[in-house]
Amino acid sequence: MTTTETEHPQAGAAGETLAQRASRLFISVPPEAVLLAVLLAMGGWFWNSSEVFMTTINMRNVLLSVSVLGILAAPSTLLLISGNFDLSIASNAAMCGVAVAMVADGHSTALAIFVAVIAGLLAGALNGLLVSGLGIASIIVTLGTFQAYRGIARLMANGQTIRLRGEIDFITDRIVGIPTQVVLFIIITAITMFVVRYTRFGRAVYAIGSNLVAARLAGIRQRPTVFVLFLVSGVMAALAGLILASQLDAASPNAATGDELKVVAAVILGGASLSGGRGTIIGTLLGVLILGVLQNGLTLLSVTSFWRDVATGTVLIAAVGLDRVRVMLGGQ
Amino acid sequence: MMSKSLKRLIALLAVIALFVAACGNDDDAADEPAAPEATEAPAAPEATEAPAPTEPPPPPLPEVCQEQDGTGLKVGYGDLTAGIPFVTQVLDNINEVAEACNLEIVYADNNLDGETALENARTFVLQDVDGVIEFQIDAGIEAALCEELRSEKPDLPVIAIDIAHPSCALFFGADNGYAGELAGEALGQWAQENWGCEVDLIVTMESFVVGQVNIDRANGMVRGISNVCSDLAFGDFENWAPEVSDSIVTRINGGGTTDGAFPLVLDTFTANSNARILVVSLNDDMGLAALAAANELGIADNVAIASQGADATIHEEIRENPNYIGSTGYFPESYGTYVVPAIMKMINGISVPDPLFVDHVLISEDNIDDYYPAG
Amino acid sequence: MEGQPDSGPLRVAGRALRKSFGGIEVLHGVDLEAVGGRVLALLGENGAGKSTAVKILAGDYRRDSGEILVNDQPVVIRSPRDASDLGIRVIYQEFSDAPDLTVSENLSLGNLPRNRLGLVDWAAMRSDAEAILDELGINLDPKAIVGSLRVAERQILEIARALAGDARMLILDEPTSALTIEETQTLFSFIRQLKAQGAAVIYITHRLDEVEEIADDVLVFRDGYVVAEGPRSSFTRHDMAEAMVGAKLDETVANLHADHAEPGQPMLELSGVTIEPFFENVDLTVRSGEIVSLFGRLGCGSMELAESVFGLKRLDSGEMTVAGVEGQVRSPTAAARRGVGFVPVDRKEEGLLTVLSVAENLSVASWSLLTRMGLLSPKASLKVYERWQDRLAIRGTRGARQVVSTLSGGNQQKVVLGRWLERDSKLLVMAEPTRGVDVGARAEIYRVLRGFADEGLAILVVSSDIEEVLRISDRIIVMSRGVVVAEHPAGGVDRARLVREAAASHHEAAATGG
Repeated sequence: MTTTETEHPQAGAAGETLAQRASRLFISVPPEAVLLAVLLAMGGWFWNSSEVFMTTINMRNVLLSVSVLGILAAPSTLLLISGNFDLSIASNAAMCGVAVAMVADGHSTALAIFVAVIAGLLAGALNGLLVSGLGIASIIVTLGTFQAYRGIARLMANGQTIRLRGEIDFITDRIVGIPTQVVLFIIITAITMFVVRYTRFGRAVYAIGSNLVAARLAGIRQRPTVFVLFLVSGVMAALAGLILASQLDAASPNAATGDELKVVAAVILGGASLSGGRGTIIGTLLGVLILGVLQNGLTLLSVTSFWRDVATGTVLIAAVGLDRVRVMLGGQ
Repeated sequence: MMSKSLKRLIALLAVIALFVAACGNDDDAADEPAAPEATEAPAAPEATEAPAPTEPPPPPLPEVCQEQDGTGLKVGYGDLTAGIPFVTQVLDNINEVAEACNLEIVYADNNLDGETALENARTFVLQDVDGVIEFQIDAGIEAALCEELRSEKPDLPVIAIDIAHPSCALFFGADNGYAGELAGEALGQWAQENWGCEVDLIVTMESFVVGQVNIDRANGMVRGISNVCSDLAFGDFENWAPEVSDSIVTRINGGGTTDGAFPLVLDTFTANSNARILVVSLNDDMGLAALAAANELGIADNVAIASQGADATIHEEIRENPNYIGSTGYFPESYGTYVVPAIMKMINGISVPDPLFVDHVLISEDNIDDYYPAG
Repeated sequence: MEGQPDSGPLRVAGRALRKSFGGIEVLHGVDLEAVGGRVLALLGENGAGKSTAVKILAGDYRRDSGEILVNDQPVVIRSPRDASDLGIRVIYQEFSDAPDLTVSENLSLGNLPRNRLGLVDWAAMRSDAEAILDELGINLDPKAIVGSLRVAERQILEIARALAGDARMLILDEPTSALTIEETQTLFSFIRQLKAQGAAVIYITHRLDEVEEIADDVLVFRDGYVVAEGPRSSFTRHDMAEAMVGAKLDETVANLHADHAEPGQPMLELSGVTIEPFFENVDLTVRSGEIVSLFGRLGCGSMELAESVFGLKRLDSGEMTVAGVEGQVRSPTAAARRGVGFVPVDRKEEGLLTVLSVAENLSVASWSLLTRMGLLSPKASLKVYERWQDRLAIRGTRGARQVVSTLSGGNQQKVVLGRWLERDSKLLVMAEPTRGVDVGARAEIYRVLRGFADEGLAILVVSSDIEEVLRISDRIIVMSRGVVVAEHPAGGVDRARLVREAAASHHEAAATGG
C-alpha cells in the first residue's frame, strides 16, 4: 500500500540525461509561457524587419485591430470551456451594428446604444434558451442563428452599408491617450479573468465543461450557467457591433464576416480544448495578440494576403501541435 | 420544468418577433429617401409617366422603348436571386420598362444556382418565349444553358447580364475596366491639381476572390491614374499579381467589407504615415475603411480616395469630403432601359451592338445632385 | 483454432520487459509467461505494473527493452494489430466498441461481410452475429444499439468480440467488475472452454475469490517488480493479499459491522415507492448511523431507486421523506440542499470533473457554501483539501493541484466521497462504492464509511458485490426484479442464500415482495 497513486512510482532521477532534463522542463512550463515566447519571438522578428513595427502608433494599431476580436473572444473562451460554441457571435455583432446605425439616424445616441445592447441580449437569450432550455447542441443552434442573425441584419439594412449619423464618437475617443475600445477590451479581459478565478460562476463553467454529468450530480446547475454565458456572449457581440460601427462610421450587414472562426482560432490558440474543461483567459489574450501581431507585421512588410493566410494557419497548428507534443511527453 | 422553459421560450420568440417587426418598420422608413433617388435616375424618368388607359387607341410609346412595341411578345427573365438590393433594382427597372413598352415578362428566379437556371430555361422554352434575358451566376454552364434555350428556336434572341454567355447571348453589363479608369482618372486629376502628381503610394482596395472583375476594375483604376500622372513608378501592374514589384502600387485584399479592410489599410497607412497616398477601391464599403483609417491616424489630408459603385452609402462623403473624389456609377436601376429595348430589337431583327455596356458616369461633388438629389 | 500448430502447447513470454513514462521507470525488467491451456492470474494493486506489462504484450505500449517470445521465437509487436495477428486478444475495462452501431455490426467491425457487389451484406452480418452469440450462449439482441445496452451487456459483447476471431491468447483486464454473479459464471465457462481448446489466458484482477476459482498460475506485481509467482495451489488467499500489499493485512477489513452505535433518527423513509418499470412498491428506511445495502443483480431496480433518492428520477407513486422533510427530491441541487450526497457508479463518466484539480473536485458540492460576498476564493478549495487529505488518506503526487484523473481509482473514489462529506451530508447514497478500486484503498473506503456512520451519517449502498455487502452492511436488503425479496441483519446471512435470493425468478420475487 505504499505507492498506489499512478503508473509512475518515484523512480530515482539520478541517471537523467540532458535531453530528458530538457523535455522535463518543457513539460513543466505552463502552456501560456510557450505562447508568450511565440509572441515575443514574432515581435522581435518584426521589430528587426520593420522600423515602423515598434512605434507607439503601430502598437496602438495592433490593439485597435484586436480589440473587437478580443472582446468577442472573452465570452467565447468561457463558452468553449463549458463545452459550447457561439458561432452566431459575429452575425449578432453585425445585426447590432446595423441597429445602432439605424436608430442613431434621428434618435439619441443613448437610445441607439440601448437598442443595440437589447438586441444583442435578446439574440444571446434566444441561443441560450434553445441550448439550455431545449437541450439542442450549441453548435447546431448557433449555426442556425449564425445564418438567421446575418439575414436579419441584411433585411434591416436592405443589404446596404449604412453610414453612421449622429455622434457615437465616444467609442473612438481616447481615455488617457488610449482609444476607448482598447480600454474596454482590457477591462473586459480583466473582469473575465477575475470571474473565472474567483467566482462560483466561473468555476462552475469549468466544472460543466470538464464533465457535465458529474457537475450536475455535484449540484451545479448547468442550464442557468450556460444561459448566462450566452447572454454575456450576446452583449459582447452588441458591444463589438457598436465599436465597429463607430470606428468605421458605418455599419454593414456584412460586418465581421468570418470573425466567428477567427474567435475560435484565437481561443484554441490560447490553449482551450474543443472538448471543454480546459482554457484560460490569459491564453486567449495571448492567442488574440499573436493573431493580431502576425497580421499587423506581415501587412507592414507588404506580404500578400495569401501568404498571410498561410502564416496564420501555420501558427495556429504549430502552437496547438507544440502543446500536444508537450502533453504526449508528459506521459500517457 | 420543460413546459416552464417552453413558455419562456415562446415569450422570448414573441419579443424577438416584435423587435424584428419594429426594425422592419425602421427599415421602410430608412428606405423612403432612397426610393425617389432610384426613380429619378436620368435614364428612366419617363418610365414612371406611363399612361394608364388601355382603350383601343394605343398610347404613344415612351422614349425609353426606342420605338419598339412589345405588344404580343413574351420575354423570359431569369433573375439572379431575390433579396440583393442591386439585383432587385435591376428587376424593378426591367418590369417597369417592359410594362411601358407593352412587353410581357416571364419571371424566374435563378437563385444563384446554375442547375436552377437550366430548369428555368426549360420552362422558358415550354412557354414559347420570344426572347430571353439571363442573369445567372454560373459561367460554367453557359454552353448547356444556350443549348437548352435554343432547343426549339435555333435563333432565339438571348441577352446575358454581367456574365458572358458567348455561345448564344449578347453581353450586357458593366465595363469594369472603363468604369475603373473613370475613377482613376478623376483621382489622378485631383493629384495633379493638388499635389503636382507627387504621390508616394497608391493603395488598391481589392477583393481577390472576385476574380476577373476585381482585376479589371483595380487595373482600370490604376490605369486611370497613370493616364494623368504618368511619371510615377507604376511597375507592371497590368499583369495582375497579388504583389506588384518595383511599384508604388500596394494591393490590399480587404475582402469587400469595411471592417475586414480596416485593420489592413490601417497598418499600411501606418507604415507610410508621412506619405501622400491615393486610394482606389473596388467598392464603396472598402473606400469607407480607408477613410476611417486615415481619420484614425490623423492623416486624412494626405489621403485621397475614389471608389466604384456610387452606392447611397457614400453619397454624403462625396458631397462633403474634398478628399473623397468620387465613385463610378453602375446604375442597376437603369438596366431595364438597356436590355428591354435591346431584346425587342433583336426579336424584330434589328442589330444591336455586342457587347452592350452601361453608360458609366463618375459621380463626384460636381454632378451628384443631378443624379441623386439631396434628400 | 484450426490453425494451431501441434508442437506442444503455445507459450507466450515476455523477458526482462522495461518501460518508462516521462523519465520514470514503471516496469523494472519483468518476466512473465503464459502457457496454452492454462489461466495465469496477474495480481497487484493499481500502479503495480501489471497493466503496463500486459499492454506491452498487446501492442498498446512499446517496450523500452526486453523481448517477447512466442514458442521461444522472438516476435515483433509494435501495434495492437500485430498482437491481433498473432492471435492475442485483449478485453480492457474501458469499452472499445462503437456505441452508435448495432451489436451485430460491432461483432463484425473491421471484417464486415460483403456480398458479390462488394456491398455490406446485412443479412449475413446478422446471421453471423446470431451464430456467434448463440455459440457463446449470450442473450443479446443483434439489432440493439450498443450504446443503449447496460454496462454488463457491453462487457459481454466485448468478450464476444474478442472470442469471435481466432484467439490463441486472451487477456482480460478486470473483466468482472461490472458483471453479476451469473454473468461472471458465464464468463468463467467461456474461459474454461477456451482453455480446453489450448488457448493461453491472462486474467488481471483484484478479486482473490476469482483467482481461486479460475486461475492455474499466479503472478503478483508490486511497484514494477514481480514479487511472487507459482501455481495457484501454492498460495493461500492470505499469501496473495500480503504479496500484493507488501505488508500484513489490516484485520479491520473484516466484520466492520461488529460494534457500532445504535441507529438514530430515520434519514430516509420510502413507503410504497414505484417507478415503472424499474421497481414497485418498495418500503425502505435508513437511519442515522447505519449502513444499509441494497443487494441485487444489475437491473434489479436498486440503481434506479438510489437515483430517485438523489432527484435523478421521479417517483410514479409512493411517499419519500428525507431527513424528516416529506416530499420527493426534484433535482441533484435540491438533493444537496436537503442533505443527500451521491457517489455514482461510473466514476469517470459521472463522478469526476476530470480535468480539474483534486481540491476543486473535493469542494465542488460545497461551492455554494464556500462563496463569500459573491466570491469563491481558490484558497477555500485548498482548505477543503487540507481538511480531507489526511482523514481520507488521499495519495497523489502533486497535492491539491493535481489533476484528478491522474489519481488511482481508489483515490478518485475517495475524492468523490469526500465531496459529500465536506458538504456535511446527512444521507449518503453510494452506487458500487469500490468498483475498480484496489484492495488497499477498498479497505480504507470501508473504514471511512464506517467511521462516518458512527458519527451519525446514514449510508445507503447499492452493490452487486457480495463480499462488499457482507463486509460493510448493518442491514442487507435484497432486491430482485424490482421488488424487495429479503432483508437480513448484519451477520445473519451467508453468501449462498444471498445469491439465491438475488436470483429469484419473477414469480418468486413477486410472491415475496408483492
